[in-house]
This record gives sequence, C-alpha cells and structure tokens, in this order.
Amino acid sequence: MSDSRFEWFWRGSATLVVSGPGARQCVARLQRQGIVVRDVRFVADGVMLRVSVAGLRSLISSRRALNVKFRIVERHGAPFLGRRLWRRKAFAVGAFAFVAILYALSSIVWRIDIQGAEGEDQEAELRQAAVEAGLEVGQWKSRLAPPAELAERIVARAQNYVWVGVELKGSVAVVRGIPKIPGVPEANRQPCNIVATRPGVILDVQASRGRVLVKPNQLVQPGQVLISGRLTDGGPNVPASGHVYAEVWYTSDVSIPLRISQQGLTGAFVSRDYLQIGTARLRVWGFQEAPPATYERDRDTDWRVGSWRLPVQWVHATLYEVKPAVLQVDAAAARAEALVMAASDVRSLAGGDMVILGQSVLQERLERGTLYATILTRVQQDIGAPAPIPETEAMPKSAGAAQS
Amino acid sequence: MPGWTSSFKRRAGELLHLPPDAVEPVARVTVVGDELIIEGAKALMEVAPDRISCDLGDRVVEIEGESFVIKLVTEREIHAVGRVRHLSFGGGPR
Repeated sequence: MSDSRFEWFWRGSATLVVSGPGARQCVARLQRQGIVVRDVRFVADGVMLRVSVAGLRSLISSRRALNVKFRIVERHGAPFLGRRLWRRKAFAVGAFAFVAILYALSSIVWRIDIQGAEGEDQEAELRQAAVEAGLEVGQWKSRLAPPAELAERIVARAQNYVWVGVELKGSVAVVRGIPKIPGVPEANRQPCNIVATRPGVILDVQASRGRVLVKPNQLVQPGQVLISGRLTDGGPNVPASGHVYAEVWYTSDVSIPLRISQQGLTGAFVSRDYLQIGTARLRVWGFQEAPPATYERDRDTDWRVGSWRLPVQWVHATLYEVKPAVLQVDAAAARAEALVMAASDVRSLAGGDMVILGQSVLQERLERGTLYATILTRVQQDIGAPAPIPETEAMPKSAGAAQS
Repeated sequence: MPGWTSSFKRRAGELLHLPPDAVEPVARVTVVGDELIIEGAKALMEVAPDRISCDLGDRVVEIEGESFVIKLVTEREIHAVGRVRHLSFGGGPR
C-alpha cells in the first residue's frame, strides 16, 4: 500500500479517536500489521490518529482483537469531497462553469495594442490593416493565423510601414510597426516665375535662380514678375527661386475703451465647513457673516471605500469678498495699447517671417469714452511666390544679374 | 556471524564512502531539533506522549521526552515531533 500524501488524498482518509483498554497499544499493533498511521495525538480518553480508508477497513475487522472502540471525527480526501459535491450539485456546476467560462474568455483577443505609430492617422491605418488581415477584438485565439503570417499580411496592407511585428500576450495582441520615414520633398522642377503677392516697395532681392527684374526702392503691384524663370528668348526656362523682401503697409482700425469695469478680490474672506450628505450640506463650522458679494472656492474631501465614493463628504468653503472696480485708462496708455493691438493684428495678417519696421497713428479720435485709432504698420516681409510662366510673354528687360 | 554477502556489502560501502544504511539493513535514528526520525525500524513497541520505544532488530531504542506527536507510522519508518530529553539503546542479542 502506498502511503504518499497524494494517494491518501485520492483514496481518502479518516481521523479517528480510538478509546478502550487497548488504545495505548493500538498504534504499535497497527504498525506490526503494516497499516500506515499518521498524526498520532494523545487525548484524554485515548488516541487520535489518521488512517487511510484501506487501513480503516482492516481496523474495523480487527477491532475486537485489539480491544478498542473508535469513532470517526473527520473525513478527508477525494471520495468524501466528491460525495459532498454530489450533494451540492448547483455548487459543483457553478464551479465547473466558472473555470470553463474563465478559460473561454481567456482564449479571446480582448485588446489590440498598437505600438510605434506616430499620430492618430498612422495608428488608424495599422489598426485597419490588422482588421483586414484578420486580427480583430473578440476573436478566438485558436482561429488566428500564426503571428509571423499575420505580420506579413498586415505589412502588405499598411502602405506607410516598413516592418510590422505581431505578438500575443495573453488576451492582448500587440502590433508593433515601424513607419516609413518620408523622403526629402522633391524640389520644384517645373519652370516658374517669382511674382509679388502684395503691393510693396522692394528692399532687397536675394535670387538663387532666375533673372531679377526689380530694383530696390521700386514699387511693385501684386502679380508683377519679380524674378523671371525665362533666361533668354526661346531658350530653356528654369524654376526661379529666391527671396524678395519688400516694405508692405498695413492699416488697422483699433478701438480701445478708456473705462474698464472689472471684479476684484479685496483680500477679505470667511471660511465655512460643511458636512455634505448626498446633495444636502450641513454647516458645521464658520458662522461669520459673509460680505455682500463673494466668490466661493470649495475644497472637497474624497472619501472612498475601495473605488466607491462615500455619499458623506466634508467640504471646506472659502468665501472671498469681491468688489467691482472701475479702471480708468488715460489716452496715452490707450494709444500704446492700440499700437500693440495693431501689431498683433498685422502679425496675423502677414503670416510667416516678418519684421515690423515702424508704426504711426494716422488718425485718432476720442468718442464716448473710447479711443478710435487708425494705425499704419510698416512691415518687412518676403512677398515672392512661385507662379507658372505665361505662354505669350515678351522677353522682359533685365534689371539685375542673370543667374542659372 | 555475518555471511559473506553482508561483509562484501559492508566492504563495498566503505570503499565507495556510502552511508551504511544505504547498503546494509541497519537502522538510522535522526534527531534534528524537535524532529525525530527512525528509519529501518522492525517494530514499534510502545508509544506514549512522553515515551517511544522501538525494536530496531538487533537492539531497542528508547526515547523519552515531552509532548510527542507521531506524524507518520509505517512498516519501516516512524516520524515524530516533540522535545527529546533522553535517548538510550538497550537490549538485543549483541
């Protein structure tokens, strides 16, 4: 007879209290019979011991010879556990269903993590490619193709990726992608002119290709060719390029109110403490009279049990005194502010690189507490932009050095 | 008078530096802290909370102590836990 612990669990065992005149000798005699005994403890009326079910049978048959009585205190092992489970079928079914459902749920892909994508567009592309390749949320893992094959299918569908790797981590599929690095944008190969986009006075021309047609201090109109891509009459045309800096004038109409009314904190405050139960507040502390106009700032506690927020919370409220204040601005300050506003207006109109050369107030009038001003802002900016060479264009007269 | 097989076994055990209980049917009594293990026992003679005596074949081991709990009793082995006070060998043919 095997006496391993597993064998004992599988076959079942029982804890007995052996009493009677032969109880003391019982263990020794059982040992001589070859019955394995465990956990022998000496109690008041005899011996407490544990034997296997097979041992129990032979003990029952030889109890007269041993001159003992016994009663079973506790049963251990699989047979007794099985019988108890059989009596509680619903519990057994529930336990089995729990394990089965857990196993089933763990063999489904629950999440797809995308790594290596830069920006939402790239991530969406990879996600879409994964779905098309057959990697979806809610899919059985056993139905999934091997990761290497999936990765190949995804990379074939995702145009902007060089490499894609797929890895299954439990119920999460991790898709790693390396996006293609976009190359240097192709330089303009098409012959073109550089024309003016705004009226202005030329300050400086820095042509890197083409023939310069304008001189500094020349007034140009929008659409006028500044750098020509046509080098000779009938000869080859080139894409003209370069910077044409010109002084451009902007006028802005600005209105600044001289009276500004605003709410200001005086610095005085009173505190209140509330016990908040649901939505009701019970004032516990702070019964000072509040100033007539206040701004209230609350500090709530966040008492929780686990993740559940308790309905009872403590609120400490501070009421700051508020007084309406009227700010009177003098005309000089208003004018300075008007200039700043005009500058920011021009900055948004001109866009890109620009330098403000100077500002001057063309006209101003004070009416009903408001300063209305028209402000001229002189700006240096690049006014050149590429435009296609017109078909019928006479050979323009050169004004600068030709370059190709 | 041991036979030639047992003397050969003993010689071989000495040559290979094996513990004697690995080759010969001799008993081993081990006391480690409060744990007591008797291997190669022939018969358990008496167990009580303060006394265990056991026939090892050629002699009898008697262990006295306090609050013994016998963890396992098999045909060859006895495992017990308890405070050992006195251990003596006695009796037997040799």
